[in-house]
Amino acid sequence: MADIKSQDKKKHYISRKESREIAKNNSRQIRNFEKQKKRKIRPEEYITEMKDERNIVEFDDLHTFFFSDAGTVKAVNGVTFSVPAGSTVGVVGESGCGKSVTSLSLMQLVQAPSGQIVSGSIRFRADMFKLDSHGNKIPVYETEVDENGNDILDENGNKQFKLDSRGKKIIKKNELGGNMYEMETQVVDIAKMPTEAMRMIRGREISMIFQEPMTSLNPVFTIGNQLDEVGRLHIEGISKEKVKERSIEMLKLVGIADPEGVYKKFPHQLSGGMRQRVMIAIALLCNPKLIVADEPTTALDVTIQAQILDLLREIKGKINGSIMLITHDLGVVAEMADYVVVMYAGKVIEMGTAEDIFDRPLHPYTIGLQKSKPTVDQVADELYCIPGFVPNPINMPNYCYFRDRCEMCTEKCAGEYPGYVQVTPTHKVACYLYKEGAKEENNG
Amino acid sequence: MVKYIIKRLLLSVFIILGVTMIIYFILRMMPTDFVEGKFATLAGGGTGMSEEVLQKMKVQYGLDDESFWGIIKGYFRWLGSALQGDLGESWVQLQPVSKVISQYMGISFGVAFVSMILELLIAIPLGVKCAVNQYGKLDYVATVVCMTLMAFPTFFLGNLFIKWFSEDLGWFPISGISSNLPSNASGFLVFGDMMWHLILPMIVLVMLNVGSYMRYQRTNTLEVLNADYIRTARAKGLSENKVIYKHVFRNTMIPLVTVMASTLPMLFGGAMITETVFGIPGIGKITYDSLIQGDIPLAMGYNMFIAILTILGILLSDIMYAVVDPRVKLGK
Repeated sequence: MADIKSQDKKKHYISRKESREIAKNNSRQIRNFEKQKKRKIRPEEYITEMKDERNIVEFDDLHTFFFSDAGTVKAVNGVTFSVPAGSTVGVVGESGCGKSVTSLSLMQLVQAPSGQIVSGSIRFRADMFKLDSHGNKIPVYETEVDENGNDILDENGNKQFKLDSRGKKIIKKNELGGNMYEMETQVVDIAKMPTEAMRMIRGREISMIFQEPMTSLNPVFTIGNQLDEVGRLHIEGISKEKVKERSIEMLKLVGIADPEGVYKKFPHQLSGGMRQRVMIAIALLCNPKLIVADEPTTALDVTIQAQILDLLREIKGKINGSIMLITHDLGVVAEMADYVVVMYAGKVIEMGTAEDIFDRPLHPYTIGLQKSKPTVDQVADELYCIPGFVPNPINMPNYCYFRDRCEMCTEKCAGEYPGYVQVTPTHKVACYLYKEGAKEENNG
Repeated sequence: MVKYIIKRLLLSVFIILGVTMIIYFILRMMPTDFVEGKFATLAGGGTGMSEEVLQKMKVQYGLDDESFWGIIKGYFRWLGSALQGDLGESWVQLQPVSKVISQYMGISFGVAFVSMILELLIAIPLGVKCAVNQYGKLDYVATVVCMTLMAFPTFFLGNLFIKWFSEDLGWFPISGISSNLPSNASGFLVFGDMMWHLILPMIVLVMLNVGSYMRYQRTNTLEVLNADYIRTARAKGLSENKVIYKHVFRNTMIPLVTVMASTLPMLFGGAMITETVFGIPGIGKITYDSLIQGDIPLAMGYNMFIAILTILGILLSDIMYAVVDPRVKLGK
């Protein structure tokens, strides 16, 4: 009896000594990670190779922890999944299961210093500027072309550059109206990348749409100012008028009826749905390859939700990019996603194509999520809910995190955390129920 | 906007009436008055001042009737002449009150203005830096130093500086604003001499006030740094400097500007204690000297001046609010 009591006590209270130890450990860890960030990181350290060339992003055993006063919160604890180019991947799970932190890790926006990417990698295929030996970008110049669009060469086989009135070579303009530079495709590991280099990716290659449109725009600047900022930053050599043109074009693209008027307005003069459209316009301005939408419709009412989702789908086709859609709304995922990743307590517990997850859910948690979704055609007195809560992310047990809430629990579940089982070539699940018959993959 | 300002100014007439009334009553209800204070010392000297003469003097200064109605009568007498633009003559300075205020305001304003500029120049960047490196070395050092300085009373720090830098080291003059310069000294020399006298008081003022501005700016910055729109700004790929000095700073301006606007009375009203410690003939010291002798006309004039400045300061801060924050619109 006494033993249980003392254990109980330990669970709920942190003694002074423990709290001091936690604080000491936290400051040591944080100092290490911050030092790591500040040191000069050479490009060779973060340039890697993709595991699968078809992917645009690969999360590989990502760990993102928060060093809090109550202990280390393992918000993302070994997440592995990938986003194939040109597809929409839905990440679903309850609140607090690490969806948002995964996406913020991808943008290097985890709230430092307490939040840190501890280990693992996030590989991203980026179009980076080619640099010459001095570390400068290499511009592409206008050349004389014949009527077929081929370069006219002089007798030595060199291209002939067009010259301006002062005899200088003219830099070619890209489709956004900025200077064209020689580009190269590089696979970078965002988890190891210095922030300075990451800035070239944020907003240009990957852009993010946040959950709260009401607070995500700066209240003291006009919409136009906040849009133009991105254009001026990422499209080099673009003129002021061109930036404005581009911004208004984007506002039109996201379905704002009076783009010139909205351009001059302040965020507080717009409704939530309009603000989310503006956020999407900001995200689209530089034709990103990946849009991370972190619960883009959670704060909006249902009619606007549908409009925003339609807009996202439409735009994905237009810019030919990929979307990583984070949501806890299974309906949204079913409508939008090609692939679905189900997360629980910082881990991926099941993933597969949308059909896999919706037609043949395997993990008891996924099944529970499906059951708790309201449906129109069924009459139910009470909506199903998964019993219990997401476990406290501090001091996680070393067995399946869902065990205490699981209705299909077996004796095996007392063992350590289950590895992934590849049920079909596209469908993976981390549960002991499916060990038999299926070949177990190496624990990732 | 114009309508709003006019409305506010009309309302403030009532506030000023209230302020003057309260101050007049308090001054009259003090246990001693100017005449007693002045002539009791003379009488103590052995000149022999009879009760009769004292009473005559009181009648002359309008201090004879100590009853409630007497005070009210006195107040309306003061108000009547004040409304005609006559604030009376200072009993101690023997000059019209308006002239006393305008004459001594300049030096006080100069000292306060220069020190405020210095305070802001130090406090704002320091506050932002501290917030950005929260719990860093700079943050702790700056906080400890600023808190220590804030905790010192003005007279203590002032006298300490006079002891160290004026008496022991002899770098700066002990008090006053000018030394004995030849009468044909150039304007530049006179100005330089004045600055040399004012360096210590300015340093003291800056040291005393820089802490509160710094802490204020630090808190503001921390709050804004956690806002969602700052995350958006970072997600756009902006550099950290641009995020802080454009997106964060512009938002911290909102509370800061309103605080700055409300320091208007401090700017013109003089730093009473600092001026007294350093013997600067500013409005603060002059009023202090007169106040302790019960100089009612000057006390009334000075306090009304401060009240008007306070009202204007608050009005200015409301207007500034609408200027820096597009969400705020001034009502009718």
